[in-house]
Amino acid sequence: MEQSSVYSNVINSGATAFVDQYYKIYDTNRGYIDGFYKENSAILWNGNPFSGITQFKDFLLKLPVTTHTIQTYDCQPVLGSEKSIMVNVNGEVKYSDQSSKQFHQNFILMPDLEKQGTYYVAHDCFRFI
Amino acid sequence: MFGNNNASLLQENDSVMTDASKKGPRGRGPNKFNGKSSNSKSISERLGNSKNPSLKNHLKRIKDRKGEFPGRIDKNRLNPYKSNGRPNLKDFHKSTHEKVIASNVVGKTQDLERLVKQKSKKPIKILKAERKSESVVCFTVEHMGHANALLNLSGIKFNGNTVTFAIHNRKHGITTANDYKNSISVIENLKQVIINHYDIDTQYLNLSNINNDPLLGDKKGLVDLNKSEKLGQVLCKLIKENIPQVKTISFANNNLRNLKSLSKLHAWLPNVMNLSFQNNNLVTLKDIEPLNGDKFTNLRELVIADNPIKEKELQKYGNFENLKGKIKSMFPSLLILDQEELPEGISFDVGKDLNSKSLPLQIKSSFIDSEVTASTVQDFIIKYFTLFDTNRVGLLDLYDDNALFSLSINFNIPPWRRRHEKSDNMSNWKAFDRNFKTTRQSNRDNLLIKGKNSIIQTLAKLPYTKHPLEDDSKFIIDTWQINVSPQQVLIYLNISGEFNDVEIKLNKSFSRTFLIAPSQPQSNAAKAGWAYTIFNDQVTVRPWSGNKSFDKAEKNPIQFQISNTVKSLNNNNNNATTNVFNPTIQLNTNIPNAPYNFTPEQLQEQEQFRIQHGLNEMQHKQVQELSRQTHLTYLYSLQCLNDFSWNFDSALEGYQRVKDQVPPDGYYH
Repeated sequence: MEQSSVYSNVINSGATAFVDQYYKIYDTNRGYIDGFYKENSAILWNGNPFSGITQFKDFLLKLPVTTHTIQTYDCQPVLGSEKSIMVNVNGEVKYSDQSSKQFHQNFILMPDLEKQGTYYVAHDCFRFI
Repeated sequence: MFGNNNASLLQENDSVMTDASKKGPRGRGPNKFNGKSSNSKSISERLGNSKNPSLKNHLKRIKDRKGEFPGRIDKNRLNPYKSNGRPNLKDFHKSTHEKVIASNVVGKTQDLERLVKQKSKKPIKILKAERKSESVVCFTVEHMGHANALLNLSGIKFNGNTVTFAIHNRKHGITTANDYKNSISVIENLKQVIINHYDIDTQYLNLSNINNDPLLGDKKGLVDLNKSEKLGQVLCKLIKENIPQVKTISFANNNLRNLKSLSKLHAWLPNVMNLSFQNNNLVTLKDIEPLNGDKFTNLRELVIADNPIKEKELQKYGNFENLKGKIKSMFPSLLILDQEELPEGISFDVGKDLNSKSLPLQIKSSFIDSEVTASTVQDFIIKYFTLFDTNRVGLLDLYDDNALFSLSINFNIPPWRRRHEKSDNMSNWKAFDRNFKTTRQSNRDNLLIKGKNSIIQTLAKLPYTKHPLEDDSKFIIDTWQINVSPQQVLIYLNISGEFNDVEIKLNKSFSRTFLIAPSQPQSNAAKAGWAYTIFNDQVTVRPWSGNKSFDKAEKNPIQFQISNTVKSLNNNNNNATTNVFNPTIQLNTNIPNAPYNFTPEQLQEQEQFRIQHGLNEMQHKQVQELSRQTHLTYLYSLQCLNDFSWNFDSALEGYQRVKDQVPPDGYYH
């Protein structure tokens, strides 16, 4: 694993960009959410598993309008991997006009070997807390 | 040791998902408008050629009697709707004492007073009771309401005689019970009007020309739905209370200029199917809009014939097609307008989910991809958190030499607690907060703790904790195996739950993600008997959020047995000594001998802790004394004394035994 501070800066800003974009698209342009995932992504939503983005997108499109508020996030390079990143997010989500719920979401981002220079969400674990 | 079965998640998924996807969107009920029920009869049919002769006669009677009832009774007093139905303050402060004459009173005045108070449905405050003659008593009551209440009791039996009451009013002279009965209140009359005008068989309420109903007597004109929106509310409420099963209501011939007063009709009577506003004074769609047509779910027929809006439409467009379209969009469920069928609206299957209030899937309990993962994770969770709570230094070999740890503190109180609380005490956690939202870029590198030694030193500085592993409802674990490189399988482990912050005796919540790998043969972990090694450890600590989000979740197929295992472990280890202090690393062995002098700030803090922990003065003194002698902080001293049942000497002795394990911030410096 790369330990240099240059690399850690790269992954820190990568995680920041990911968190910003991911929830913005989730809240305002959900049809494009599949850009973050691949067919082999493993996704868990409140204990419900989805294998691959196709299934998950069907579900996402049935979700009411969302507004996510990010309260904390943080990232680490995944040990024993080639440039994978673990991103941890805590915040609140509001569905339509309902009251807010707190959530925890953790992502494992991996480099997409098919598309040089891009990452995708390989694992996604979401929970109301 | 996990075996390379990373495909297991996908397989599990398939079986679980087919179930979930079968459910699909919520099914729609059968079409209510297929086939004719007794209620589906058009109201225009009913209204147009009224088959009810008594109704016709009744309407005629109303017309004939117009103006027949001379106004004897003060309208201002009897109109509950004037000034929005609230008593007029100006009048209220006037001296309004009323005199009520009771006749045919044979017996003691006090007994009668007691009787009327007992019998009256409303409270009566009698200010004065004077006997005027052998059989006449004059009661002075606070205001008209009380006088009316007495009047209501007219005819009451007292010592075998019938007592009658009459109000002696300065302005209006004597009002007898008979007069009063004519004017009890608009509400009472209105209720009667509603009941009289309701046909049970057809579930049809005809409020046509309600204002001129003889029952309303001289108060006709007061029941003007144009004037009072409040009256509309009262009317809806009365309908709901008395004939909740009503399907058809006619508000015809009421000279309605708009439907503002009926804006809540949909809420009071959601099952109403047919509404008529025939022959009113509705001029534009704006006059109809306040009815909130989109909120009626069962409305199928609407009549607005003989209103100016129809004429205007005809003049402008030559037909009613435009109006029909507009009305259909205002009343999506509507099928018939003025006896003409409306076109089926063109609707799209869009946006229903977006505005839905329910989530498309149920929340499920802990997810585990396979039995192999389950047993490994269960073992890990029990051992890790037991050591984390009692002996963090014991976790040293569990972390890989290059392991990474970071902690984020979420200071936000959960939404459901916000109504009563503003914040929670998180101060003793914030030292290592790496939340990217608040941490400067330059600090982030330092706050990512690298290597097992640094991690253990950091963990040792965190407040002492107690995780309730014996209670399954207090945490939730989602875990599956992942491949991070062709050679490397990891267990991806997410746990959320609560723990007790032992020092401040407050529960906190946390979410934590571990990446754990099978331990390499010959590694420190393997030598120490650990089957796995922690690669990554990412924690968020936050104010207590309870476990309502997941404790009642539907069970996933594979489940943990953590609480049972912990309970049986506890039973087997009853004799094992649990250490007084959570021993951590040996860092500080030089315990100063001279008694410690507290700073004013420390004294102030101690006083706060005393209150917080509900200590009495004696206990407070003991804690301070132990602190003074050992230099332990107030909270450490308190814990020590607690552990030795407040025996000071034993506590001091106990401290001497374990002092090497007290972390540096356990002392005052």
